[in-house]
Amino acid sequence: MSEELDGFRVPDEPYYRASGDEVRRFEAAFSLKIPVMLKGPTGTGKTRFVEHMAFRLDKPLVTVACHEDMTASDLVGRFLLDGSGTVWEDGPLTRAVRFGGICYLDEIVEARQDTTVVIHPLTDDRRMLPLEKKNELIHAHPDFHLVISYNPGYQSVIKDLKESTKQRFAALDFAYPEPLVESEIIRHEAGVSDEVAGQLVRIGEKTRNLKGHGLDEGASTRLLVQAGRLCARGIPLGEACEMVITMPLTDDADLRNALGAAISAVIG
Amino acid sequence: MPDGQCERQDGGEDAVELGGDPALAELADRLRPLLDRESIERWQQQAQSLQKLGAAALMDFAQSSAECCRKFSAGPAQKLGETALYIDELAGAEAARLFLRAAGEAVTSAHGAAVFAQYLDALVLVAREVSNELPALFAIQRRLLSRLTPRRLDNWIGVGRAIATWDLVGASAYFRLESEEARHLFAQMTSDEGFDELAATLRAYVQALWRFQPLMVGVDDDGTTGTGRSSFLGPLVRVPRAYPGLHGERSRRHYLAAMAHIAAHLVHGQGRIAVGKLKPLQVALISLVEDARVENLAKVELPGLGPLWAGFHTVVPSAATTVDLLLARLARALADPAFEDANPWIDRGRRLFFSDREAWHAPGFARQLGGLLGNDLGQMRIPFNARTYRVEPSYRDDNSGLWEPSPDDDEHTVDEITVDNLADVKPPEQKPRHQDRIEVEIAPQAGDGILLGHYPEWDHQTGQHRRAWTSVRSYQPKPAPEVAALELAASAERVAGRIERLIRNARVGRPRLLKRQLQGEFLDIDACIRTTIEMRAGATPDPHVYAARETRGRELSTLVVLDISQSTRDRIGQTTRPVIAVEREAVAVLGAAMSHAGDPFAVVGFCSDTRKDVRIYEVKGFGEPFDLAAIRRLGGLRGGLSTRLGAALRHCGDRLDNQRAARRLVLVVTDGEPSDVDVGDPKYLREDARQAVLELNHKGVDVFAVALGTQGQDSLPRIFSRRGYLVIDDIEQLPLRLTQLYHRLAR
Repeated sequence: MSEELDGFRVPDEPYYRASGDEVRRFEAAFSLKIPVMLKGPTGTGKTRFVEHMAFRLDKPLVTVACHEDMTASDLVGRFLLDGSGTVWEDGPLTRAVRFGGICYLDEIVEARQDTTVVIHPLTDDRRMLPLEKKNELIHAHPDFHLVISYNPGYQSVIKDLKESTKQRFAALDFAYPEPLVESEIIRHEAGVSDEVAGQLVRIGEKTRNLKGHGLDEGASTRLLVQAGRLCARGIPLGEACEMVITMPLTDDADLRNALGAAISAVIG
Repeated sequence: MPDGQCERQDGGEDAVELGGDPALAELADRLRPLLDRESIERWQQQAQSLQKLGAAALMDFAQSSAECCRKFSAGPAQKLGETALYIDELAGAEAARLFLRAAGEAVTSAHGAAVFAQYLDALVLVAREVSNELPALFAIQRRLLSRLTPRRLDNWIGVGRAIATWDLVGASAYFRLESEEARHLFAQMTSDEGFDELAATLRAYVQALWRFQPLMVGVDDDGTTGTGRSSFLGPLVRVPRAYPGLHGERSRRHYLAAMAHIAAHLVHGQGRIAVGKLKPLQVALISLVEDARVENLAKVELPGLGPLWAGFHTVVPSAATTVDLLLARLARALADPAFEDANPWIDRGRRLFFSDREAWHAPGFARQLGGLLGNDLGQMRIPFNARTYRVEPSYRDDNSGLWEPSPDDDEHTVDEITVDNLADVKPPEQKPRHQDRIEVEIAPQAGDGILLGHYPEWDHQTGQHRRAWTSVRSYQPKPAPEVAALELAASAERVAGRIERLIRNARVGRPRLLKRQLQGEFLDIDACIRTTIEMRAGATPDPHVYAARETRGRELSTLVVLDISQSTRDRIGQTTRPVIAVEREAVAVLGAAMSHAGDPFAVVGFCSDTRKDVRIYEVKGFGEPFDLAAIRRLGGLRGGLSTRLGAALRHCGDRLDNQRAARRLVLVVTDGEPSDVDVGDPKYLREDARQAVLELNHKGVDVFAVALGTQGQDSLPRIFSRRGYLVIDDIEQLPLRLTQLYHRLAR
C-alpha cells in the first residue's frame, strides 16, 4: 500500500453504535467495490459511520465536502503554472483512485450535476478515471472505494441526483436511531447519566414531531449529543437545550415558545 | 390606605360654615382627618354645589370621596367632585346622582389612581356626547376599572363613543358589553398574551408533544356569561380568548396548561360516559377523578407537566367544608404531591387514587372512584349547587367533552355546546346572498372562455389515458378596482423588501466561462501564452492565467398555479379573510420578489366545471411585466367551482415548453384534493393528478405544491411525491413562507 495517503488514515477508532446491519452490509459492498450511498437527514451519523468503517477496514479516508461552486477540477485536479511551465496537481478524488482509499463525497447534491458526472466511469465495472486535460487514464487502485452521502429533503426538489448517478450506488438508509440506541449514543458521546440521556431522547422525539409543521427537521442525534455535552459541563439541561436545540432550529418566535414549553414539559 | 399626601390636620376646628347645614358639617368632620385644610375647603365648596342633588347624593359623595382619599389621595377625590358637577351640567341631575351612587364602587375596583382619574375624564366625554349610555357604563365599570390600564380604558370607551357617532343602537350594545366588538376588544385588552397571540405556539406545542393538530377556536368568554373554561369535543377545542386577570408569562403558562390538559384527555381518555342517573355531584367528581387520571398518566411521560399544572392549584387546606372547596382541594391533592390536607375525605380519595397506578388504565376507573367519593360526600349532606359550580383550577376544561350529551339536561346541556362548537368551526352551509351574486359574476358560461386545447386524462382503473378528455379554456379575471390593487401591491412591497435579498442570492442557471482569473479550474491558454511571453521578455508576468466556469445568471422559469376552487372561499379560522385573499397576497409578494430578481414567471388561477370547462384565469404571462394591470387581475380572482388539477397541470406543462430556461418549475398553491362535479370516484382525479405530475417530470418540468391547511393531506404525497409538497398550517404566514420556499427551490 502506498504511503501517499498515510495522512488520510483514521488514527483512533471512532465511536459508532450500529442501529442495524449496516456494518456488515458496508463490508460486503466494499469487498465487491460497489459504490455506497448513505441517505438520511443531517446528524444521523453518516460521516461518523464512514470514518468508523475506514478505521475498521484500515483504509485511508479522503473526505470532500461538496458545495455548489465545486467544479470537476476541484475533484479531479488541475494544471497549475510555475516558473518552468505547467504542473499537474491531483485532486482529492484522483489521489484516492491512484493510491487506493475510500473517497467520501459528503452532501453530493450540493455539487452541480455536471460535476458529479465525473464519478460515472469510476462507479461502473470500468473503475477508471479519465483525466482528459492531462490525457491520462487511471485505473482505480483495488482499494479505491467511493462513498457519497445525500440528504433527501424537500428543499432539494430541484437539486436532486441524476437518475444515471443514483443507479450506480448501493444505498444505506440512516434514520434517527431507536430510543434505546440513541440514549446509549448520547450517554457515550456526552458522558451524561442514563436519566439525562433518556430526557434528551424524548426531547429529540418531540422536536421531530414538528417536522413539516414549522420545522424542516427535528433535532438530530448530533444536536442531542451537543446538548448532553453542555449539560455534562454543568449547564442546566433546559438551558443547554435552548442553546443548541430551540435557538438554532428556528427563528420563529411562536415555534420557539412552543419548543421551549415542550422541552420543559419533558424535563420536569 | 391613607396616602402620604393625606396629612392629618388636627387644627381644623375653625371650619368654614356650611350654609348652616348640619349634615354637611358632620360629613366634613369625617373627612377632616384625611385631608389638609385647603382640600377640605375645596371639598366643602363642591359639596355645597352638589347639595341641589339631594341628601342621598350628597351622602354618596361624602362616602366615595372619603374612600377615594383613603385609597388614593386628595387629588382624585377632588376630581371626583368636579366630575360630578360636570355630569350634572352636561347630562342632568339624574345622571349625576347615578354617578355618585356608583362612585364608591368605582373607587374600590380601580386598581390605581391613574386609571381612576382616566375613568373620570372619560366619563365627562361620554356625558357630553352620549349621556344616555352612562348608566350602562356604571354597570360594567367594575370590570373596566379592575382590568384595564388607563390608556386602554380610554381607548375602549373612546371606541364606544366613536360608534355612537353613527350607530346609537350599536353604541348602546357596546357600552353594555353585549356587542361582539366590545367583548372582543375588551378580551384583547385585558390580556397581553391572549389566545390569538398564542394560537400558533399552542398548535406547535401540541404537535411537538403529542403529534396531532388540535382544531382550536378562540371564544369570547371571560367568565361572566359562560363558564370561563375551555372545552373540547373530539379534536375540536374551544379556548377562551383571554383568561381574566392573567398577564404575560402567567397567561402564557395558563394556556399551555389548558392545552396540555385537553391533550391529556384526548390522548388518555376512554371515551365519553353516559350521564344516565348520575347526580350532578357524582358527575362533577367523576370528571375530577378523570382529570386527575389523565394528568397523572401524561406526567409519566412528561414529568414537566406536573409543575406546570400544580402552579395553578392555589387552594389551601381549611376547616371550611363547602363542596366547591372540597373538590378544589381534592383536585389539588391528586395533582400536587407536596400538598397536605388533613381532611379525611380528601385523604381517602388520595389514597384510593394512588393505591394502584395500574388501575388508571382500567376502563371505568374514574367512574368507579368518582362514584365512591360522591357517595361519601353525599352522606356528609353538604349542599352542592351544580349551576354555580365551576371546575377548578381555571386551566381545566368544563368537562363537557367527557359526557354523552343527554336530552334532559338543563340549560348547560352538552348538546348546546356541541352545536355551538361546530358552528364556530364550519362556516354555515348557506352562504349569504351577496356571495351568490359574485358567483354569477365570475362564472361565465362555458362558451365564454377561449379554448386552449384538449388534454388527455388518466384513468387509473384501466391504466390508460382517455384521449382528449378535457377542454381547457382561457378566461380573463375581472380586474379588481385600482385602489384595491394598489393596496395589495403596497402590502406586497413591504414584505418583499425583506426577502428580496434571499431571492437575488439564489443562483440557478447555466455556467459561464470566466477567463483571465487569478485562480480557476483550468488554464486559460491565451493568458498562459501571454504570460510566458512576458516572462521571457523579462517583464513582470500577469498572474491571471486561469479560467473558470461560474453560474452567475439565474435561469428559472416559474409558473405559479393558484387553486381558486370553491373551497378557497372558506374563511381562515376566526378571521374574516378567505383563503383566496391570502393566496392573492402571497402571490403578490412572490411576484414582486421574482420580478425584482428578474426571473421569468407567469401566474394563472384555475378551477373547473366538469371536464368540458377547465378554466385557466390569466393573471400574468411570461412576457408581461408584473405591473398594476397584472395585480388588478390577481386581485380580481374569486373562488368558485371545482379542482381538476391534472388537466390544469398538463396545460401548464405545455406553457413552460416554450420557456428556454435551464430549470422550469410549476408551483401549485392548493387547499385541498382534486375533485370535480362530474367525477364520483375520489381516487380518479387524484391518480390523474399524480400521472400529470409524472408526465411533467418526464418533460423536465419540476412540480411543487404548497398545501394550505390540513385538508386533503393524505393525497399530497401520492400526487406530488413525498418531497414534492409542503404543508403550511398557519395560512397567515403564506406570503412569507411561499417566497422563502421559492428561494430554496431555486437554490
